[in-house]
Formats: sequence, C-alpha cells, structure tokens
Amino acid sequence: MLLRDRLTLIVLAILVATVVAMGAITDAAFSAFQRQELAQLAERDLARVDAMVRSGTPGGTFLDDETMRIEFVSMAGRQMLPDPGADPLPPVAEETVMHDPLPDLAGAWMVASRTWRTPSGVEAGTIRIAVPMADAIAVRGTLRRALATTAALALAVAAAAAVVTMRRALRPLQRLAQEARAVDPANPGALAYRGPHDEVGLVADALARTLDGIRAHREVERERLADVAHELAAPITVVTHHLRRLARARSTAATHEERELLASAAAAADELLVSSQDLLTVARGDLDDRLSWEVVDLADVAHQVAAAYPGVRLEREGDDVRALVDPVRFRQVLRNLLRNAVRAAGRPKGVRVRVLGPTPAWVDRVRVEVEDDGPGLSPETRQAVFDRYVTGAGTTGLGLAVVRRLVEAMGGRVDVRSVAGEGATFFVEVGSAAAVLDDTDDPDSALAAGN
Amino acid sequence: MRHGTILVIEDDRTLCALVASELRECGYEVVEATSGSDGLAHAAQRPFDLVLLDLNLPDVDGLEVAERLRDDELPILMMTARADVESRLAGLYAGASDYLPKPFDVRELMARVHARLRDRLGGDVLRHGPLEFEVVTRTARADGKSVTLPAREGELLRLLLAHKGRVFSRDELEHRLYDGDPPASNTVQVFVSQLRRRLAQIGVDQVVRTVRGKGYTVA
Repeated sequence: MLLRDRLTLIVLAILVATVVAMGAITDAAFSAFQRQELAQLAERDLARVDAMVRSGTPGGTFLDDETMRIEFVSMAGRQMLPDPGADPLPPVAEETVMHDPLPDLAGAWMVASRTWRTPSGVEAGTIRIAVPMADAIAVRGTLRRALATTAALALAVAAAAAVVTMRRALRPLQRLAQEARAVDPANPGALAYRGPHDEVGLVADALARTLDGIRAHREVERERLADVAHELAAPITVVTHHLRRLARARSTAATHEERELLASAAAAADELLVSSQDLLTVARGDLDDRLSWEVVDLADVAHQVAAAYPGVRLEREGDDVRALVDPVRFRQVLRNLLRNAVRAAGRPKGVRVRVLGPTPAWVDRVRVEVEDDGPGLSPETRQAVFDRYVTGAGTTGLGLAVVRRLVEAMGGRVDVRSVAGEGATFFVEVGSAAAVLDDTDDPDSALAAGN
Repeated sequence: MRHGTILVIEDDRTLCALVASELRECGYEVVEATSGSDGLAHAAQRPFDLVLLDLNLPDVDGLEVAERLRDDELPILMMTARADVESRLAGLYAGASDYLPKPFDVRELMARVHARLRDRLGGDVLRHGPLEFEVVTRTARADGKSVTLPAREGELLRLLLAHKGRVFSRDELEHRLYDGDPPASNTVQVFVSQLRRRLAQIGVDQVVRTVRGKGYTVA
C-alpha cells in the first residue's frame, strides 16, 4: 500500500472520529442544557405556586394565576375542595425535589414536587409541577438532523481536501523516486532533483551525497586500474612477444620437452595478452568516443584473425563485405569469438567462419558468423552468455561481454544460435560501408537525408 | 623503395628495445628515445617517416610531445594504456586519432607501421583504382588525362589516399589543413566538392567518398 493511501486513510479515520465525537458531545451538552432549563422552569413555577398557596386565597375552588391553575389533591389522589371556613393549614414546606418523569405521568415530563407537612410532621400533601418535554425532544431531534447533515458535508469536503493535499504533499517524493530510478547504476550521474529544503530535500541531498561517493569511488578505481594497466602493459607485451619468438625458433639446443614447455608458455602468454586487453575494455568507460572508424574488408580481418588457428574454415558470400568499424576493436571481437569457438569445438577444424555481405535479411549490414560443432549451449546459457562473468560451455566470462560491448559501441549487434548438442553459431552484424558511402558534400546533411 | 626511418619514444626500456629490434628486423632504420625530451631532441635533429609515441612519459606530457611533433608534420602512432589519456586524445583529434591501446600484440603494431609507411613511402605516387596522384607536383592522372590540384586540395587528396579506408572527420581535416582554424565552417565541404569536380574532369569519380554522419574517406 502506498504511503499516500495509508496517510489518506489515517487522516480520514481521524476526521470521522472527530466529527462523530463532536456530534455526540454537542448532543449530550444540548440535552443537559435543555434539562437544566426545564428544571429551572419547573422550579420557578413551583415557587410561584408555593407563594400562591401560602398567601392562600380561601373560598375558591381554584387558585388561578394567569397561566396556572392549582388543584388540591389528597394523599389518596382525591381532589379536595378547600373549606372556606376552615383555618388555613400552617404547613411547613420541605425542600423541592426534582424528578425525572414519574412513572405515573405518561410521556416525558420534567417534574418538581414539594411535600407539605403539618407542624406535627404529618404529611398534608404534595405540590407537583410537571412541565412537558415533548417540545424540547423535538428540538433535539431537529438539532441532531442538522448536526448530521453538517457533519456529512464537512466530512466530504475535508476528505477531498485531505486526498488532494496528500497527493500534492507527496509529489516531490514521487519525483525524487523517479529521479533515483533514472540513475544508471553502472554509471551514476548527478541527481536532477530540485526542490525545497524540506524532508524530501534532505533525502535528495543524502542520495546525491551517496551518488557522489560512488562516483568518486569508481573514479578512484578507474584510476587505479589505469595505473595497473600501465604497469602491466609493457611487460605483457614484451613477455608475449619473446615467448612467441622463442617457441617459433625451434632451437636445436632445446630438448623436445623444453620446446613443449615454451610452446605452452607462449600460448598462455597470448591468452594473457588477449585477456588483459579484454579486461581493460570492460573496465574502461565510454568506448564510443574512442573509436577510430575505418572502411574495412571484413573478409581480410577474418583471414588475419583466423591465421592464428590453422584449420579453421573461411567462407565468404557477397561481393562487398566492407564495413565501417574500428579495425582494432573488430579484430578483438573476432579473436574472442574464434577463440571461444575453437575451445568449444576442441579443434580448429570444427570451426567455420563465414563473412556475408548485405542480404534482404540484413540490409545495410555485413555479417560474420562463427560456427562451431562443439556441445552447443543450453537455452539458459544462451540467454546469459553475453552477460559479464557468466560462463558456459566453451565460453569465457569476460570474452563475450567484451564482444557485446565492442559490437554495440560500433553500432552493431551480436547474437547466438545454438541447439544443445549441435554446436553454436555466434554472429556479429555491423554497418555495411557501402550503405553509408555517398557523394554528398556534407556528411551531416547526408545523415539527415539518410534518416 | 627505401624502408623509412622511425623514432620510437617509449619510457619502458625493454619494450622500447623490443619494438626497435622488431622494426630493424623488418628493415627500418630506428632511433630509440626513452624520454619525451630525448625524443623531441632527436626529432629536431633529423627527419623521420614515423614516430611511435608512448603517451605516458616520465618527463614531458605525451600529448604535449605529440602536439610539438605534429607541428613538424610528423606522422605519429600513439600508444597508451591509460583510458583517461585516450579520452583526451579523442577530444583532440575528434575521433580519428591514430593510436594503439596497450598492451598490444607486436604483430598488430608491425602491421600498423607497415601500412602507414607503405602509404607514406609508396614513392611520391599514390594510387587508387585508375587514379594516380603525384604528391610533389600535385598532379592527378587517369586514363591518360591529368589535372593539377591547388595546394590544399592536393593535401586533402594526399591525406585520404595515404590512409585509405580511414574515416577523417570534418574536425580532423580542419585540424590538418588549417590547424583547426578554418576560414569558414563549410571550408572542408567546399574543398571536397571542388576536389571531386576536378577529379571528374579526368573521368575519376567515387574516389573521395562521404561517410554518412562521420566524415570522408577514400575507399
């Protein structure tokens, strides 16, 4: 669940709880106030009645005020007529008692009562004032409805505002995430995020610092590698060359065994040379701007490279197999493919190199296929074979990664066709020279026209 | 045909000696220098047909040596193991720098040297198909017809013919013909166009080719 949704839900829950609580409290308070007012009303009326009775207007059936009528009721509930001749009772009023609706009064009433006693303590009667609560309850209902409507409206508006605010507030975070995703882990550049110096800004700063650190670290590594390369370059070149010469010299002074050792050392040195070249290719940064373009006959290149493996069959189809490549890099590509193929086949004779000019299947391209009759590749290996350090039957970890890197830098593509048990065919396609050669004056306008 | 004289500037003595001995074996005359100042001193004393230059020298910056040698119009083949130097090179010569990354296969180096010198020393006449170009008199001939080229067009044709197949970017040609400061932005274009017209007069076409998006070449 997204942080945005989670926060929105939390805010909404808080809003709902607040509104419900406010409604409940308002309702309770309102009821309490109503009761208080009604009680005061009842008490006031009771006081008035009390006063009327005390001042006693004997002789009438009723004591009448403008808004009130008083009846005298016996303890048994019988209505009593005041006796005009009798002395008025000198009653003693007790405390007023407030009742919630009494059981004998149907409906909701606010009741106030006061018991009268003779001085000897005998109960003489009770004055009871009942005020109806129906109106108050109706008002309370109206208030509840109004409250519910207002709360629902407020809740809807607040919820919408919360959603929008949350989205807006979290947008910088999303932008930062996008920026972070756009960073190439292989070559981390600067973070493009620009925003206020808030919490997101702090995260962006931290991320930028991390990226800077990684970049600096890579730079140091690259420097170190360059130093190592520089240190190793000369000795490797020298050792390889001398061993090769010694192995070729077939000195009569050397025993058969020594010659074997020399040959093996020379072969190993050759590997060392090629591998160190590959290693440097992978370790270096961008290749594109260091390519030296030439129009090269790929059949010639194949011929030169295959010379290192007598027995490899060479074939050519098509008249024009010239391509636009960096010749040194392309030789490195072919050498890798050929070395792998010979390893896979177990012998040079099991390898065939075909150089194919443009055909309808690969217009504008020249293609070189290196085919071996080795064990072939399983589908899984075939998928991963160009990844760095993945090794499969007859392949080196670095070699094919280098091949792909170089070929792609030259604007070409490399792939493999293989069925396990039936050998493998690696093929490289690079731009045909014929396709990019013309006689316009401006190479760049030709590019525009070509596109 | 003489074999040519080569100056090798390389601070690793063993490698320097090895390259020199290989070159001598092939018949070239070789002068060895193990520092930049040493190399520049040799270059000042006598003409060379080619300089093999290690870019990582103990005393003078290799690129500076290269710049000074270029002023004397010496062809240079640069050798380097350092990627950073390579990038600077690329910036300097806009994609057409002539260098060999280290470590290299000595056979590869020899092949490069042979190719470079074959073109340069192939006498004073460079050929491509029916076209013959006499460098000194700047005369182009084909099928019994001939035309004399103006100085800069002649230099342009010589460069392209001497490095057949290699693609020269417009920047590099500006650098070579005008020291990087051409009178107009389309100068190279205009030269190429005029050169093609003159060659067409002697029936030669499709020699100086445009490589889409990259530059010019003879192929």
